[in-house]
Amino acid sequence: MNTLKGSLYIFFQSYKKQNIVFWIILLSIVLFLIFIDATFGENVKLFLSVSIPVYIFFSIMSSKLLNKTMPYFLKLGLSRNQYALHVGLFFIAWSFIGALFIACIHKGILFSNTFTLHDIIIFHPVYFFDPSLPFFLTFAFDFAILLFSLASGLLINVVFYRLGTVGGYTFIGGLIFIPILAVIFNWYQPLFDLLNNVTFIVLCTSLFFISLLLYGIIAVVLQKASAIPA
Amino acid sequence: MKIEARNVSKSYKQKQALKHLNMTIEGPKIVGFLGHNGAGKTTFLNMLSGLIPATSGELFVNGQPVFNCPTILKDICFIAESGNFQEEMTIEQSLKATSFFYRHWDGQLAKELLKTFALNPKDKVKNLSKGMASALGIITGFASNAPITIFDEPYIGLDVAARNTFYDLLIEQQQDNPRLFILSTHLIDEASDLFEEVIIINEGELLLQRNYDEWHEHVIAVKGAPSVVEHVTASFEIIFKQSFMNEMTAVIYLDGKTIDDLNVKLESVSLQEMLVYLSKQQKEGLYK
Repeated sequence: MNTLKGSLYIFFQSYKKQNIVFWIILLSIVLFLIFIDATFGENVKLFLSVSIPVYIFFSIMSSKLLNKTMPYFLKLGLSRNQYALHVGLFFIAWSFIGALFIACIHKGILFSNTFTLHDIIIFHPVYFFDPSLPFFLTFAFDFAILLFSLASGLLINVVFYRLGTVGGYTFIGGLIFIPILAVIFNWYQPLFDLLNNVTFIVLCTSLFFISLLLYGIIAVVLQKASAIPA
Repeated sequence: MKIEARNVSKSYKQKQALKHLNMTIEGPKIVGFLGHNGAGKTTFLNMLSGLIPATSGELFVNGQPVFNCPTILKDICFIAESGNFQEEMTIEQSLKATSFFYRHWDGQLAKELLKTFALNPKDKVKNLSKGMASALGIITGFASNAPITIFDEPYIGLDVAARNTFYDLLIEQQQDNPRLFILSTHLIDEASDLFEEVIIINEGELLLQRNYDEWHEHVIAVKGAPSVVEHVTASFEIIFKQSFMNEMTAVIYLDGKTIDDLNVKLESVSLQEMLVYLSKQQKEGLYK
């Protein structure tokens, strides 16, 4: 239990600065847009996406996590299993807080719209499914996507960490082929059909379990990983 | 604590760093872990602290395999040459973070040592000089109270006064709280009097493991005319041999035997000289 507390403390301290800077920038942009909307709202239509920059930020952060923290934690005496478990718990906590922030900012913008004459249009992936979803479901969706972003960023990091630069880029190159093949062989059609027919809850749950699956793969790959990257 | 290396080998892409290493280290004691650059010391210490897996063979501590074993790993504190701390954290935060991981952590000692090494707890790790980062590593190693404490070149950038403080602390700590200290260093003349046991790694193999007191009885330099030295040392294992100005020097293992020939000069070999010989041998081997 003490080691878990220590790990969370280290993760918090290690990512505190980047998080503060990111959220300050994002909030500044939001406030600036609210100001623009209040001042020039009659002449311009404003679109804003809070969630997508957060997904990207989370992916970038987790894509450097291994190099930044794994040697340090192993030196402190954690086993690789413990490290994977602690990182996983940190990801869950981080996604939860990130989703909460996104939801609160959305609420804030909607609240500001009640005072300004012209609405800021919020762009959020969840509105593709249902624009009238309640607060907690939007939160659940963001939580699932953020967890997925963290897991996929970490997966990329693991590939580069274990296979080196050449192996990493070869893997990325291989991944690029998937959408190309999807277009050639019309694989995207059943995917679109599936996404159209699936319920929102099923989508969220699937994303959550895909993230867990990715994370399970990462944990297995880390079992024999060295503290020195390839 | 008992460390056992059983047939441990480690290969990197282009080099075999350790070759079928077998040895046992038992503590508490201060062990000098020596070897020239690239001999395999850091590789072994990294494996002992669970940072890298062995290619073959296994390392055990108290009979349990070290790799991925949390119950053993929390009894090992490894202070490497660099990269011991998170850059974004302050000294205070680093020490607090470390305290969660070592069950015998001595926070009071850490505070005292911060004053001894004149470190400001509010300073960020990334702003520390090399010497200050080394001092922080030394503080962490001592305050961890880990039964196996490993210092791998712990005083890069530290001045003579600070290094002497480290040596004094090492003796003091070993008296107050005996444990197995493994010290890897290139400043051998300075540190050799601290060692209770000396381990020399050469080209990935265990060259020698002896109590420091036995050192001078075990390794000796034979000097004289080349033909005489060749004759006298014929039945001994030669560690190093060189000729200069019609005089030959051969460093040999005595292994309990004696040399009575009056035509040769027998001289004791310091640890530092031994490492110089080994280093020369390695370079000659590379050139050949």
